[in-house]
Amino acid sequence: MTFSTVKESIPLFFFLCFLDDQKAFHSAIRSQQAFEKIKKKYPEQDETISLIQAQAQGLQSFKDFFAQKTQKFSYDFGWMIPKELDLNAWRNFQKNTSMEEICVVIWTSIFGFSSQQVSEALGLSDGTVRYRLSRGLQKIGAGL
Amino acid sequence: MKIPWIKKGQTDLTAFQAEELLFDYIKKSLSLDRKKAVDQHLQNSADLKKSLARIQKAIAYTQDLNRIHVSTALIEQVQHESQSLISLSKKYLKQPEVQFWFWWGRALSVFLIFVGGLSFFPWEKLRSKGGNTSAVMVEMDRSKDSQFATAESLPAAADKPKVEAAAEREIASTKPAAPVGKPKETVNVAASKAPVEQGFLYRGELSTSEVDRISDGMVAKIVDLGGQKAGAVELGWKKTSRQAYFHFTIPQRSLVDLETYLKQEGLILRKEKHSKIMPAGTVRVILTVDEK
Repeated sequence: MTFSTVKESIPLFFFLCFLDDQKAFHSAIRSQQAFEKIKKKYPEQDETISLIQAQAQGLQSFKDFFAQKTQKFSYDFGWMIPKELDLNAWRNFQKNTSMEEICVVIWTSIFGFSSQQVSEALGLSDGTVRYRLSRGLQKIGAGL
Repeated sequence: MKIPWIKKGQTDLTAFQAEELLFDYIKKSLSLDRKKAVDQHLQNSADLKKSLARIQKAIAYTQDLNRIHVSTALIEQVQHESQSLISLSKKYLKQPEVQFWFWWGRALSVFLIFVGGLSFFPWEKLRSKGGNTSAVMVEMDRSKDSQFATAESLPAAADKPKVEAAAEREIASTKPAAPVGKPKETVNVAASKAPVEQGFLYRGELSTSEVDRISDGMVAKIVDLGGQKAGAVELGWKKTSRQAYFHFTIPQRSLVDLETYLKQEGLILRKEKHSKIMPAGTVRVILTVDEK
């Protein structure tokens, strides 16, 4: 993973999590700080694992704020979304699914991280991550 | 209960386990054995086939979502905000004023915790372990109860002549009595705090080589000024051959003249607080003249 990908993946992760400009922006800032701290504390650690941990921390910091499932985003904010891409299926999935499953789908299926990296970063078993991924993908598929 | 999980080389998968492996099956990241096992389940299970189709569609969709990018401007803004927050907090904390208030705040917190701890500490329990030390005020009737500490209750007093004992009783009566016997009545401490009229006593001592001359002169002057003996003994009573004792009352108006006279002889009066209150316009005086 290159540094530019890390920088881009942080705001993108939160955009997909919330589909909300402000929530994504603020949590991306917090997550970016967390990422710098983790890198400083564990310089030997795999950068992908640090990134996942930082993003998880960013989510945790705004837990109550994010409980309100409001969605408000504009294309002008800085999200470069292909015109032909339909976000409705993702929107429905995001509204009706737990944050744990959304995160695992983003990390594994969209960003392409392995389930082992996710499980190591979050301190979960590989089976739990696979289960969440399977459920998440089936929900998305059912909505398509 | 131990849940069996897939081990390397194991081919007997449950349908549940096979479903969870569909993502890896599509990504072709399964071992040959596991791939075969999932294939077997797919041949026998229509539900699993549906799940596979759903997951395939979902993976294709998420691949499309991967095409979303974030503008450089937004990435830089996030970076900038993140860095400025960190640098601001670092810069702010390094300022001497902030440091000053930071440490004072800590010191104050420690102090408040300490004071709070002291105020909530069970001091009463500690006191009760050391015995009851609460003050009890008593009122004594000296005339009716001979058990109270006076000159006559002292062992040596019984052997002394009556006049001397009376004089010592008077001396003792001029001092606050210490209760040693049964208290007649206990008085509430709070009640004793009520304002009480204060009595006074004038005292004076003189050491001279002419005890007799000065003593005779003082007797004459006191009588001249309207003074009267206050106790059982006469004015200028020779307590010993080397000491004369004067205990008398005198009108308030004559006190200045008495003071002037005594000053000439080298004796200065001092006013002391006393529990006994004299009638208005009268003062009580105790003098001793000792031989050098």
